[in-house]
Amino acid sequence: MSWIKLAFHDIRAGLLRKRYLLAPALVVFECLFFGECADLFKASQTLGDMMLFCFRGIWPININDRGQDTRIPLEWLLIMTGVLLINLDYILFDLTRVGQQVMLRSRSRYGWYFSKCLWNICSTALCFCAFVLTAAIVTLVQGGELKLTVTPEICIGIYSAPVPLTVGQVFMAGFVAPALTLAAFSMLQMVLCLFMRPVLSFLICQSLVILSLYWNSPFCLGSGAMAMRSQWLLSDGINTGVAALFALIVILISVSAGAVKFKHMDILGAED
Amino acid sequence: MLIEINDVSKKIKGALILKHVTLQFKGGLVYGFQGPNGSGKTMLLRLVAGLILPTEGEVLIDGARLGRDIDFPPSVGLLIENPAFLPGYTGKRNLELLADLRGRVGDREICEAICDVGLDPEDKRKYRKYSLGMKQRLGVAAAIMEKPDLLLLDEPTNALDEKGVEMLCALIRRERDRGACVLVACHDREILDRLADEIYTVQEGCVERRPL
Repeated sequence: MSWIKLAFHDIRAGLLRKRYLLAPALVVFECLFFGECADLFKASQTLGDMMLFCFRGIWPININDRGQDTRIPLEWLLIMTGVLLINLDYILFDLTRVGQQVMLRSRSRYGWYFSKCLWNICSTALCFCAFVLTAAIVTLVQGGELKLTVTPEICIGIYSAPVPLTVGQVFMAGFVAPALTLAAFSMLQMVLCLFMRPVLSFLICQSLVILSLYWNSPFCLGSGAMAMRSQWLLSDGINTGVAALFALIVILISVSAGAVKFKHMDILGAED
Repeated sequence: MLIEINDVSKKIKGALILKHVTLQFKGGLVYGFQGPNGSGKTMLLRLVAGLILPTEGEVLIDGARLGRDIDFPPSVGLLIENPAFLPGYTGKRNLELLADLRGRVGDREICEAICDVGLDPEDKRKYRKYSLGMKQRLGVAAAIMEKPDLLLLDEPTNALDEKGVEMLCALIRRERDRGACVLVACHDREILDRLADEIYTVQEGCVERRPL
C-alpha cells in the first residue's frame, strides 16, 4: 500500500480541526501589541517587523542585573503554547479510533507512524502559515508593506538595536528558526505522547519552553525562536543557524525514538 | 488460514491479562469466546489482530510470527469495541476511504457490504448523525467489505435490534462458508450457541474450551 495514501488520510483527518482557528487568533492578539509599539515610533511597518515582533521573546535574563526587565513575554509564550495545544492529541485520538482500521489495512506500524510524523510537520507548517498570513493581513490593514526588511526606528525602539538586519537575517530569525523550533517542540510532544499521557507530554514541553526563557543557549530548544537572543540583535547572542540546526536534530531524534517505541507498543482502545 | 497462539501470556501495566493461552484456529470455522466483562476476550482479539504483542509466547499467522515477521495479519477484518469512523463523512464515504488504502475492492463491493448490513449506500447523512445501531452496522460492513481471511468481531451484537442480530448471524455464517476464520467475542451465550463451531470460556485471562 502506498505510504502517500496514509499521509493523505492523516492530512484529511488530522488537519480538518476547528482548533486551527487558534493560530490566527494568536497573531491578531500579538499584532494588537505591535500596533501600540508602532504608533509610539510613528514609523511605517513591514511583514518583517511584524514577524520579528511576534517571535521577539525576551533578552537573556541576567540574575545579577537587578534592574533588568524580567517579565515573562506572555505573547511569545502564548504562540508556543498555542501550537503545542493545537497538535497535542491527534496521534492518540486516531490510534484509539479509526486509526486502528487504517493501520491494519496498511499492515505496517512504521508506515502508520511515519505518516503521523508527516502530519505533525504539516500541522505545524499550517499553523505557521496561518501566523504569516494573519501577520501579512494585519500589516496591510495598518498601511504597511509586505517586505522582509525591518524599519530602523522600530528596530531601535523595540530592540535598542540600530544594527540594520538584512532580509536573510530577518527571514532566518523571524521565519526559519521559529518554524523549526515549533516543529521540534511539536514532534517531541507527539513522541512523548507514546510514552506517557498527553497532558504530561504537554507539561514537559511547556517546561522546556519556559526553561528557554531563563537559559540562553542554541542547545536550549526555544532560544532559537526568540529574535532578541539572536547574535544579530545581541552582541553575545546565540547563532540562530546553529539553533535551527539543533531543532532539526531534535526532530530527527524524536522521530527515531518514536519509531522504535511504536514498533512494540500495545495499541489499546479509548476505554483501556 | 492457520492461526497458532502458543503459550501466550500478556501483561499490561503490571496486570496479567492473558495467562499461558494456547489455541489454534483454522479457516472455515467460527470460534466463539464467552466470558464476563474484563475477562480478557477483547485482549485476545487484539492479540490475534497484532494490536498488542505477547509478553511471553508467540502468535503465528500461517507460520509468520506477529511482531517479528509481520506487523499484522495479511487479510483481516476487525470490529473491536465501538466502531469509529470520521464523523464528517457519510457511511459510504468512510468505507471508500478505508477501502482506498488497499485498493482491493471498489464501489460495487462497498455498496454490497453496506446493503448486506441493512444500510442504504445512498444515505447522505453524515456518520455523526447515525444511531448507535447504524454505527454498529457500518462497523460490521467495514470488517467484511474486503472479504478478509480472518474476521475478528468483539461484541458484534451491541446496539443491534433483533432483526440486526439475525442479519449479523447470517453474515457470519456466510463468511465462514466462504472460508474465513471468524472469531467472535460475546457475553451472550445464546448467540454463540447458535453461531460458533467451537466455544471457549475466558475467565481471568485463562481460556478453556467449552463443550457445545
